[in-house]
Amino acid sequence: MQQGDHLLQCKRYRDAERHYRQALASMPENGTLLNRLAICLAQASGRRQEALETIDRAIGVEANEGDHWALKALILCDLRRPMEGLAAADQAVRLNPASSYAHTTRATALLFLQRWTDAERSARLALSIDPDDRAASNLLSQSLQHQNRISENAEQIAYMLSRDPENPDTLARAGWNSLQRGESTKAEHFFREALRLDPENRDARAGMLESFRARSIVYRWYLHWCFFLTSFSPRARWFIVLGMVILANAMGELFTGPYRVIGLGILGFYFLFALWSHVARGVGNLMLLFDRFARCALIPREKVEAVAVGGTVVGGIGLLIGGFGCGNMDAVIFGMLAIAAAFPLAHTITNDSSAGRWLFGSFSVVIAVAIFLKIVAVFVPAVNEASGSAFAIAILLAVATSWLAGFNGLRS
Amino acid sequence: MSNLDSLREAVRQSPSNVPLLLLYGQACLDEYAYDEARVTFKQVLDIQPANLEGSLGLAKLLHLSGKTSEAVVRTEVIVESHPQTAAPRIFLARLLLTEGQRREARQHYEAALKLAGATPDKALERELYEGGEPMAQTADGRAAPVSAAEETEEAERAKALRQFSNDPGVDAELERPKVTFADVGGNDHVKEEIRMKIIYPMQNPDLFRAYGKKIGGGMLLYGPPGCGKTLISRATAGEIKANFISIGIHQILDMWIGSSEKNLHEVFELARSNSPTVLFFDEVDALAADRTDLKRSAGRALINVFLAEMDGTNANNDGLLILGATNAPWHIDSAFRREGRFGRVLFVPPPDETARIAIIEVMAHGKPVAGLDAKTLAKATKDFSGADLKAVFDLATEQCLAAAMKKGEVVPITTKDLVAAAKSFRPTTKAWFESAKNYALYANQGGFYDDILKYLGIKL
Repeated sequence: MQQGDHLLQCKRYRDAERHYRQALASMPENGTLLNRLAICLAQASGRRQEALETIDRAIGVEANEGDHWALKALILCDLRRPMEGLAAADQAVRLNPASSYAHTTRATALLFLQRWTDAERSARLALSIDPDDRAASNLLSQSLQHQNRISENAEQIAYMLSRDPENPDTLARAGWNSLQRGESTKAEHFFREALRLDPENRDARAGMLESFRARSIVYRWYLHWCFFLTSFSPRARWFIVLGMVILANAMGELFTGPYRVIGLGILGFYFLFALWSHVARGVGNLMLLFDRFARCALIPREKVEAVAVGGTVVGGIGLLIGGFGCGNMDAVIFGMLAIAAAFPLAHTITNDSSAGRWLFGSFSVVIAVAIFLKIVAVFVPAVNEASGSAFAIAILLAVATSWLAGFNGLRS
Repeated sequence: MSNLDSLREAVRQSPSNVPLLLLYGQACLDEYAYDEARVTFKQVLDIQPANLEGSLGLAKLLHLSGKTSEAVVRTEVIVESHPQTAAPRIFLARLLLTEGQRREARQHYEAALKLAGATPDKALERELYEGGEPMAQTADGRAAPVSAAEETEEAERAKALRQFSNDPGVDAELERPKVTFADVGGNDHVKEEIRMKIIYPMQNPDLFRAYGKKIGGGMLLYGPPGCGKTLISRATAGEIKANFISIGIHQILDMWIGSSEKNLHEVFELARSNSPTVLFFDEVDALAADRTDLKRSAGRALINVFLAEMDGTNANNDGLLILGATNAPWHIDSAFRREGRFGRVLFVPPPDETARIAIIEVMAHGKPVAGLDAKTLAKATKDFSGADLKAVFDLATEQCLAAAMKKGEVVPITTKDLVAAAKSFRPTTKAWFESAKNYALYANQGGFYDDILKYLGIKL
């Protein structure tokens, strides 16, 4: 077991696992060993279910051990089952209310559930027990960030950095805080520093990509909008988006006669904004492809997304403008279809939800068929009618995507 | 599909095939699937109640489950029913040794070696004769006590090792490898680097001393797992005709405080007293981990001892070449990368096409492969490590085995089968390069990971 512990500290999870299993062969009912084995298994993304089964075995042996419940909570959160994770974390807190670890796992589960204020409370409780708990400090910072309490968060981060200036998680938090302030260059510096210390820090990598994208002022505005939206609960966010749709349509109806142009302008602006919020990442990634360093930071799927989504949006807008400019309606329709295709594509390639991938992927295929039919129709007028129907379906699917993408189950 | 899954499927297809059941039972033991192993061995005994391997399998299972006494009883019964077979006696000797009955264990071991087809178990031998009469092989391959006159150079080294191995925590082999760079296919760039950095200085020590250069020191080999770091280290020792000691983490790490440090010191002492020696540390990141990761752990003391031994603070390290291999160089404490320690670093990439052809030809040997086109398979296995190639062969073999069992005749493995298996297999090096790329991009201080960037074709 000692050898396993040493290997676990050296982050040699596979080797540590082997030692724990050997030890378990002679002590199959040892809860601590099962707990450590579950930690090793939880490190491998494809074996989290096995980790959950292992920690359940540990709980079966030592049901009153709070640490087992806390670990179970973390594993459940990683498995995207935060509700169950919260229940396990609650049990950990009940069994061991003086454990900062238990409160920290509870804060983690609450963050997953986007209950920012509750997460803040749990993180603060953990810190009241152990003021040096780095994980709790970072969770507190995260909850403050999501509540848009920028200055308070900055103070918290500055305090954390004064205690531990080489903590990659804290540096990543400092990066996000700078991004929230609109200081993308400073954010980039923090993220690079975090990645220097821990090159596999996913939070820092995601932040660095955002800071690269935020070099463009349009993307910075979009980021501000995202930060603003995340400070609300998921339900409130739905109401905000719904309200915007109603307002935009009302404005479109309200302005009549000579003011009709204003109404159409507002509607057009809304649609442009709605389009942007879906394709911003893909277009942002397309810009990154032209940066030598940033390009390397993208994973292969993001590069594909950049080409597919960014390409269809840029190409589509080009065709729209060119088509209107030259009075070529075919080019306008091709442009609209390309932009329509960008919607489902933006939720297909990097979507972690397999249901979402299948749904939006099939939408993309249908729109691709519509584009193909339109190409055929240019040369064979007989398929014009079918092409027209396909065009209508494609636009409907793009609109449907903009609504369906809001469901958590279809978009991780 | 894992090896176990494939075997499970094959057993499902052919539930009364005893050799297959035994293979599956052993695989279950290896994968710690004890319940499945128990059911499988019982199934074997239902079909063939006197099957030796099935009975032994159940005994091994008992031992692995911590029921050694029960395993002893069962094995004694097996020994009685198979008095002319060596394997159960050797296993019984190991069980008795575990139970602390050394004398009885020796008796069974010696009786086993007198039987036809007995293969000596070197590790067991060392444990059995620790401090006692040594055993060596006679010309006919049998074990016999060694007289002083018969002691060869090999035996002297073994004696030195035995003295050093009196501490039960240490188990190291001192050997003189016969393998050289000629036996390592491909990887010419790596071999040339080692020649320049290690072999030529050792072969021309005066010339190097004239330029104020120290001979020996350390070199760190890093790269994806299964790409031949150990083989290259062994071949390095073979090239310079030095002794070779290969040390794994399990040979050093000990549960008792201070014992790991003592083990490490003794390994260095053994190497120094037999110089020139190549001292090879496999998975060195577990012994030289970043101290910030270890916090207040006792492992920090081990690292300090390792550093002191490498520096030769209390002893002369002349003629001692220390090689370390790791697939996680980023977890190594930066203090180890200084000059005089692992001052020279070498990236060992996955085998190139030439190396893959050589590996494929070796792997095909002894298997029913029809018309092997090694070049085609090598082309289809870019970035595959040696271990990955083995997995490809295993996968193709299992598939052909399943087909053979259905047909009831040998189905040869074709290049097409192997290429298909390669296509369905994701090389393990991919995951390694995904991590390595992050380190090379974001933590490449001093150009430590330049070789990785070059290999991946990334220009910053």
